[in-house]
Amino acid sequence: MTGGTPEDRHEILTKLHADHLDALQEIGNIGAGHSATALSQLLNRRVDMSVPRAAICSIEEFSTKILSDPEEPLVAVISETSGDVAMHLVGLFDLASINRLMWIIRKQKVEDNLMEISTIDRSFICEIGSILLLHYVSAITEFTDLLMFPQVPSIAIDMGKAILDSILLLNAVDYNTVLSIEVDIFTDNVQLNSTMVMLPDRHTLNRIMSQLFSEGWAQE
Amino acid sequence: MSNVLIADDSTFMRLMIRKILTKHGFSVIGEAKDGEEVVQQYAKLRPNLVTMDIVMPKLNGIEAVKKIVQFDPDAKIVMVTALGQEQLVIEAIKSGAKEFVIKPFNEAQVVNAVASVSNA
Amino acid sequence: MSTEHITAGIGEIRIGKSPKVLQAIALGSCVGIALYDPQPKLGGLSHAMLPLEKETRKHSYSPGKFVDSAILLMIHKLVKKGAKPNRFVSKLVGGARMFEIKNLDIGTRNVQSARAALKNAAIPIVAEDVGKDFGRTVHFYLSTGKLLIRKAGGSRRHWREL
Repeated sequence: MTGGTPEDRHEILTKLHADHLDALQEIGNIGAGHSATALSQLLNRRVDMSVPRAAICSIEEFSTKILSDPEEPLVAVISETSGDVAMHLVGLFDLASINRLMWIIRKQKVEDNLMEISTIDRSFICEIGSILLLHYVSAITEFTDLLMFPQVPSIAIDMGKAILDSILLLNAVDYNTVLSIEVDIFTDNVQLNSTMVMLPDRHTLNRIMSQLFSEGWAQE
Repeated sequence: MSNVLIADDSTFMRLMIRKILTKHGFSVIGEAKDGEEVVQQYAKLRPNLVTMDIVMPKLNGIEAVKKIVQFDPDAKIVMVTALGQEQLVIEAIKSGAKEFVIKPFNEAQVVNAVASVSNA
Repeated sequence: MSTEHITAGIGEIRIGKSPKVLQAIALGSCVGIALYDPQPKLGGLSHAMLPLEKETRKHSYSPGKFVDSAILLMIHKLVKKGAKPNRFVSKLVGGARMFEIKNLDIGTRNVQSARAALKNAAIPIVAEDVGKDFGRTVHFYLSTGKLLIRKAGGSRRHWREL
């Protein structure tokens, strides 16, 4: 990428080739694979996952490509990491998946409306989500050999787009594009399905790429 | 001499496994990026051993194992995958895989698994 | 005959004339700023994400993304269409604190920035549904200047009018 404004030359997303995206997909694969294993142990069932997708898109497109209905209430468990690698990790669950989860583990159903979930159920779901996210993070830590400290995950239950856009804000100060890596983990013929979204910031991307590609990645 | 076929939808992973195996004296004779391709490549190249990911487009790794074992019951297949659940390990072994390595792996894990299966 | 709905996506400003309806979907920490000139029934809706433009380290020109620059740009666009700023009224929606991570509460800062920018422009805020911890969708009816606001899980009957 030549020319352009000084910002362009620092814009890491323009430096990413298919190989780099591929490596990022593999990170998503490994992270989600560990989450899937953890979920499998929790539920005592087989858990599968989708082929990971790493894509760069505009801020506006980000939520719309992940969500079928931007206003549909979803559960999001969110973890932020600090250390060498700062990123946001989000586990998304829809009503049907939460019901499936609650049924398998506790033989109960939530309300028909996710917004009316009890405090106890909310806390329980946050715990489950937290386990999935922590496994994801530790897998990436091993793979990239980078230090990552996950913060205590938090939970939000609201319109999917409101949640995702609000997470984006934190990355969006300087840029209008975002890189995300998405993988679905699912069980019971997709009755329980969670989309795991990884959002590394630019600095983190640079670190990861330097680590994985050493000679093939220009240092910033 | 061990001729190996690598199956993984990630270019990056195929490269990593190739590097490790080549360094340890194995010969990588082919690569496949999805389950259908690995079955085709197996029939064409007749490798001594296959490293097989599970999550792949078109046909997943376990289904691919079943197909390969159908026409070559002695096929030597090592699963190399991010999905490390007990149920899947059992299913893969029942389908005909001989060994299982879970990502992220270190070099020694891959080499040991491949060597033990190829020497068996 | 259904009325045309125009969506202001994230970082966008949309203006229009009665009887159109402007809308912003699923505002979380983002803030929706509605401006209205009741005489020609011209209005604008800005869906802004971040409080202050000058906080960007690198300047890629996206005025709609930042509350302060978005409001200025929206005023400018409306004036170009014949609206008169001395008649403008404004309403605010959104700026929620969606989760407990982080100390910096962008939603609140967005709302503060909007209040400051509107005060500077001498535009009164006549109504608002801001803050708290939930997302909102807003429909801005240019025929009346009214807003209809909906929370997650709300059906057609659960619109709040502002």
